[in-house]
Amino acid sequence: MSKRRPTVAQVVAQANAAREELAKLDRELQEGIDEIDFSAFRERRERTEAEMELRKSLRAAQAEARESFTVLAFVTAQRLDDTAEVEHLIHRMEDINAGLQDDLDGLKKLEKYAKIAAKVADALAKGAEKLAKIAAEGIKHA
Amino acid sequence: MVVVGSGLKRLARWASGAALLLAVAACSTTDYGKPVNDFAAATDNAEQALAELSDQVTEAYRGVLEGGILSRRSFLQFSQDECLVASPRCRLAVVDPDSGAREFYPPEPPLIQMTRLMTQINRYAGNLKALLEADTASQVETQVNAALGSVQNLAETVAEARAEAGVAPVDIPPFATSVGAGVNWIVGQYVEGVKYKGLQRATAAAKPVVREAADLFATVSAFVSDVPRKDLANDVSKSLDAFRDNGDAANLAKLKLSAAKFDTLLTSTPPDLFKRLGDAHDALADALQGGEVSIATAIGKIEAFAAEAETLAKILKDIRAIVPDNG
Repeated sequence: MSKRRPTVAQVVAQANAAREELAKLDRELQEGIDEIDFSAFRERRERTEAEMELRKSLRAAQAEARESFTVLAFVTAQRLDDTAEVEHLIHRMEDINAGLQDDLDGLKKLEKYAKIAAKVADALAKGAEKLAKIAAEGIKHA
Repeated sequence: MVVVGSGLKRLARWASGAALLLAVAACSTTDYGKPVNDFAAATDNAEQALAELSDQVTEAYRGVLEGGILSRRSFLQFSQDECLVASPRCRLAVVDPDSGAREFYPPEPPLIQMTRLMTQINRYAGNLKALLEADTASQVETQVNAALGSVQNLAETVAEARAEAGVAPVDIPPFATSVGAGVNWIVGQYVEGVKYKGLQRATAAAKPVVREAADLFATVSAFVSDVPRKDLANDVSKSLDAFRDNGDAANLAKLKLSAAKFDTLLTSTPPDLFKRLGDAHDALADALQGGEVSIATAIGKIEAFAAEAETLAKILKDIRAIVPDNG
């Protein structure tokens, strides 16, 4: 049995939930860093070795969390692209474009008919011209 | 003359059918020239913007994958059954050792279907323009005038022959001009009718489709806008760390500049472009249906969309300039 593709709404809901989590993590990690720096500042002292280590690991975790935003953006774009809705929209646009093409073709046919009519009229006019001359000759000799 | 007149029967057949569309043609399609042309031009820019967003997220993701590969967190191998003598293709794949998840390296662009959709919308905008600009009426006019010119010549030849034969001449009125003008007017109205009906039908059918597509593009654009945000957030964090380590004037200036760059990005990125695409098309469709939306309103919305498309193209270029180089 083939796996059901998620809908746009499902993909967006999941992506938004993941994005909120990442944003929360980013904020909390920044708060952790600020707390270390601010307590040292308030107490008018240098940061301790342990604080520096902790700060470094918080910043590294933050960089990873931020990288996840890129992964999330890529994967969400990929998942949205793969939804049945997008495929359906493409087909509908193709149908609309085919209709417009029919209208254009119809107008081109109109040009073709006018050209045929012109040729027919021209040929008939030339033929009738000859007939008229023959008839005129006939009138003269009569 | 009767014989010659029958030669125009085909022409007359569709000309009589044209009467059915005369009422529709009351509103000239020339009124829609500007909005339709502007819409087509702006849609072209929107297509480029979508392609740019796709490139941007692909490139950023490639950087993430490369980071994993080079730090030995991810395993690199050939894609399944590829890069062998009998393989149809040779692509690399990054494998996450924990989850087993695989991804092509370099990654393929994620917006393949949406790019197709956007191409169809752009083609649609081009078709609206082509329909509006089809100069069938003038082409037909040339042919009709040529046909009637032949008939006029014949009438004059017959008159000359009668005169030479000593038969009383008859006045030949310049009927080709007046008949031609009449036929051409009908043709013109008919063509206008076909065009107007075509525009009405197409925009009405496309309205929900373009709206839904525009909303989708806007959603993707909102997620992709996190990519440059992430880069600038890292940049400003680095500047803050440098200042807290050494709070001198030079580090303060760098921090101020980093924050200003990030602020520029946050306040100027408009995921509005695709929303405006939908708004502009809705207005165009509504104006063509003869509803409450006037052509002037439609033009206003299309101009806003066109301006946004140009702005975004510039911003996407600027982002490349302001986002720090990670390489």
